[in-house]
Amino acid sequence: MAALGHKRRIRTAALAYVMVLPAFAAFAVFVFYPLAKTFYLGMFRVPPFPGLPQKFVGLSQYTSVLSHSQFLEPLWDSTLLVIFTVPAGIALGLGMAAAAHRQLPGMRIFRTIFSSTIATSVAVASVIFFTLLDPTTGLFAYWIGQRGGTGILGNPTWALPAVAVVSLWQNLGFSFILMSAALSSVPDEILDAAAIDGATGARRFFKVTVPLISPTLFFAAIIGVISGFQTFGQIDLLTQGGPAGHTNVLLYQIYTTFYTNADTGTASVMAVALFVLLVLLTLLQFVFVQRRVFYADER
Amino acid sequence: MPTSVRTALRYLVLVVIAVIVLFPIYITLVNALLPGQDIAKRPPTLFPLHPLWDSFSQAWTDGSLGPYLRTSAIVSIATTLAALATSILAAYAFAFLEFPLKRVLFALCLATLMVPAEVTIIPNYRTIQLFGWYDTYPALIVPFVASGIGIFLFRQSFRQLPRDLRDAAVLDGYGHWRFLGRVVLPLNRPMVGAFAIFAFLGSWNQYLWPLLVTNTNARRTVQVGLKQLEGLNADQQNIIFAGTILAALPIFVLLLLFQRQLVRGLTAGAVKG
Amino acid sequence: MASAAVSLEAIEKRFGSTVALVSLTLTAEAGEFLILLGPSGCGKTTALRIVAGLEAPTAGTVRIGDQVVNDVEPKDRDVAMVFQSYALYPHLSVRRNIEFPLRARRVARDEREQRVKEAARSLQVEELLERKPGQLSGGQRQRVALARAIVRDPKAFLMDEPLSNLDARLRVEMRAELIDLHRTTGTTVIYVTHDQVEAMTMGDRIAILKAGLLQQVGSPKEVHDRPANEFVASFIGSPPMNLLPGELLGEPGLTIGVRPEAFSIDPEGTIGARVTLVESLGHEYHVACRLRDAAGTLVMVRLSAPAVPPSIGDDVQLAFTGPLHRFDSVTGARKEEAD
Repeated sequence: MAALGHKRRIRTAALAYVMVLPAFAAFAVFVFYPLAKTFYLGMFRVPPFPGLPQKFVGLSQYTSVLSHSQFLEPLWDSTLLVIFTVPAGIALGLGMAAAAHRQLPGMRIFRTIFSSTIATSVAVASVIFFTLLDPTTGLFAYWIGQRGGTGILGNPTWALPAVAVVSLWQNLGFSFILMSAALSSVPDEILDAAAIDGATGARRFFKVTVPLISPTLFFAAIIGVISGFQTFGQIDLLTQGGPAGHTNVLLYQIYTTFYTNADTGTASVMAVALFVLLVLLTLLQFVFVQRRVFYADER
Repeated sequence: MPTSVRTALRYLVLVVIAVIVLFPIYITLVNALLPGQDIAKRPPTLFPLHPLWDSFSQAWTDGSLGPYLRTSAIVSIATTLAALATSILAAYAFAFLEFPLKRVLFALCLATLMVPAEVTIIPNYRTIQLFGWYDTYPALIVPFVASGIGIFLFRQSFRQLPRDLRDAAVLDGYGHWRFLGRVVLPLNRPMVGAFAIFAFLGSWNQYLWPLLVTNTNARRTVQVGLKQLEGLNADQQNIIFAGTILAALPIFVLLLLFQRQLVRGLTAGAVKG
Repeated sequence: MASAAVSLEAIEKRFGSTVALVSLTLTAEAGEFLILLGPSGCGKTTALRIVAGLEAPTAGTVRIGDQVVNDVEPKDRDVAMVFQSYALYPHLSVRRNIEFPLRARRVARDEREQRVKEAARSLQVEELLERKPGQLSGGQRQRVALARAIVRDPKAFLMDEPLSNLDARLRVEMRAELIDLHRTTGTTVIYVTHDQVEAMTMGDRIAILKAGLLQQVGSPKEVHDRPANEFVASFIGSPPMNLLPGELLGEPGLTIGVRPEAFSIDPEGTIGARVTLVESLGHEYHVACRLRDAAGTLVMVRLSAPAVPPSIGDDVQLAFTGPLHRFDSVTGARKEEAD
């Protein structure tokens, strides 16, 4: 609606600023300022002993930290975790959604059960599995034959896969919901047409359904990767980065560097790296969301 | 294969999946109802013949789940209400008003979607110290009162309103505030519900930030509080399990009550991830 | 409240570089039913929105009664608008919808109820008051939208293609009701439509717009009998007026307009043609004929109930039985001296 006259335009603009002010005040203080500040803090070297002044070292701290194993090893651990969780999570969610897609009596109950893990949080899931994997008392530890000793969470080879399983289980509900929504967006006519053309069962699923929901699969993959790189609670509650740094993912490394070692400079550099990584992934997702909207309009 | 056999197989698959998904929850419940020293017994007890319910009250008081849940409730409700208010207001401006820098400001809004809270914890932790908010409610709430995704989703939703409706309201004498309150919000109730659930879940499940800015049981949220339970003795594991159930229960109830909004909220919010 | 004249004086409206209205000067007299007629994109809706205050003119003056309202807020202009989409609030009951403008004006409760009742009665929607718009048929929604407009007792009604979402039968019915409503309230109506039948049957006067330019204003009879230019001639009347090159009748430089009913098939006629299509409407026939000129011009002939209707392929002679309209073939403007 075009404004009537100058005065009204000014009044409208004033109202608009009043309306966006609360959100932007919060953004300014808790998003934009700290983002810039993190870049800035990454340029100061924190002395090994408290009390000494911080030293401005510019971008050299970025090159030194980012090429150092204290960054590269956690980056690799995070990447492994993503590799363990994302494809499996999508496959499991899709499988569950496909199993529950057919209209059968009692399906509502199954759908509720399948989505039930969204009621758990990372912390709830982690504490449950931590207790069930306890090498002396845990039932799961007993079943997988990890009695006594350090247990699976203390095993350098198996700790990270165990963390991945906890993540996977906790995300099953969400993955199921997302995949169910995707499956129900596939028009019945197309499936009927495929059936008439002779494609049924698994063949139809992989040749028709999966390509049709590929945008959602891609979307799920990207957000899975993004949240995989933001993993923190599982590590803090299950392994504290151990054993011997084998589950020391990027965010946990940032946390300990900052909170335990008080090395804000190094922690900030790694936070900036995490930010850049996530921005690239988010951009990828935005490009894709645009396309998905377009895709939906066409239908 | 006859249809009946296929249907039976299908149910079999469904039941197997259901058992796998539910088993950790089921065994949590069972263990919460066993005496602490029986949990480690082998073969394990898979059905509590003599359930003991006092693990819940012990978790509530000795495990401090009571105060944790109270803090979480206060923080999540306040964060949700604040995020709703700031998002709706800003989205209204972006959807219905013309003002200088509108595009720039909206682009900034979208830009916040690319800045996960995890990335800014270091300066934000210092800001909280500077404000003297360490271990207080504001530290847990204020950083999350604005939501880029909320503004984006509400703006999308508001823009679906037919222009005629806004014009009719203008002619009928409704200013922006009354149009927002009497027309826009009532017509966007599903979106309000979905975003409220999304914001509530996000706030309730936070872990890293509350861990950083609290250090007393009075201000720990339930997620962080669960970490304190891990330190209990082996024969008190029933209390740990009871505590996790208490921590998940509010969300579980929400899931049952608002399944549809939850699904909508999760899939809409998934844009942020 | 007394109905008032609405006038636009030298109104210009540009949206960026596109020009929606060019120096539009037009007055709806108090109590008049004025039609804004034209094809889509001609600026008629823009003109209406400028009167309502939903758009600001780039230049020019808008008057309601004696008052210049350019700087008056839409809500204070005291005009009611009926939208093509009806713009009913979907979450409010019919009663609350009708009440909506009164509540906004803080009308006292008793009076509000009284006025809603009257408006609902005059549009026969009393039975529907507690329903939601989603539960109503298109015709019922239209009535509610009208009730919401009349409940304010405004100085003028602005109607933007209010009947175009209705099916043909309902449209005829609502047309009669709108005429009736106008007669009983005596309120000025500015009514936008692209449907010339609506315009001819409802309007006291018709203003015809094309590409932002006013082409002609006049009573339905005037615009039908004396179209100001070729565009008006071809826009008014169904089937539209035949436009023949002047050369055909020995009048080069002119375009000759002949209404289909101004032709007859007559052995004495001077124009030879062949019948290419015969459409029977029961009470009349529309006969398309191809003239024997070089271009093979198509003309439409309207015959009321001929004894022996022509058949496709017949060779016929056409004669003029009604007035001819002469237009400058370059400018399209009406040439009066030939009448």
